[in-house]
Amino acid sequence: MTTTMLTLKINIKRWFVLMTALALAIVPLAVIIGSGCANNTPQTVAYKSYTGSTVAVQTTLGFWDTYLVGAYARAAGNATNVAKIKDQEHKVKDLYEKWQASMALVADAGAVWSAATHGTNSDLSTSALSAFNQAVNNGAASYIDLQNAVGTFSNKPVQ
Amino acid sequence: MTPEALTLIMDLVAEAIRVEPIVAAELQKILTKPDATPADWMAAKAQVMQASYKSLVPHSQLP
Repeated sequence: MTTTMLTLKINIKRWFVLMTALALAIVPLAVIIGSGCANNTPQTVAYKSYTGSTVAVQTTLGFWDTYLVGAYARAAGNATNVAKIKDQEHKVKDLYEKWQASMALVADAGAVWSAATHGTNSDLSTSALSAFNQAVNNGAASYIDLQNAVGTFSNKPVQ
Repeated sequence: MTPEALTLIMDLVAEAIRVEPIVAAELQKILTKPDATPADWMAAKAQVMQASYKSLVPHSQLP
């Protein structure tokens, strides 16, 4: 392995560790800041967590793109390895699209919850919160699956 | 959350901001949002749905 490739690998690994840490940090950070500010409603704290995790996932895919540049360059001329990388790409793409779909449901549920809490029907608000929590659980599972796939593939590059 | 965990999170975020300044700008936007309305949720959803895999991974070799 050349010095340049070794440096790139170390930088990518460091970048991934930082982004994963950031992704894990955003949700509690938003909750901490949100809970410490009287102007933040629970909906706003949830919204901040949502947009924070969106930034984290999109940053992770930016990292994945950087990884692919090196991976395809190393696999050039080796059809088997190129096919393996494409297979990894298919898996990451599928997981990203599942995450997108789950986050669309979270946003829909968040909008309903937000509207319900501004109304006077507390039963409606409670059921909207329950639906929102269910959507968040599904979204969190998709998020973890995507982060795990990118981490696993990039930490064990196709040789 | 323990004080140690909070300190660790703050250190990690500070390191991420130091390495990649754009993270600081995004965090600033997120954390200073005053209130979330249904319209905000729909705008956030649109932002997620508009970002296709291909747009985020321009060096993809998938068709």
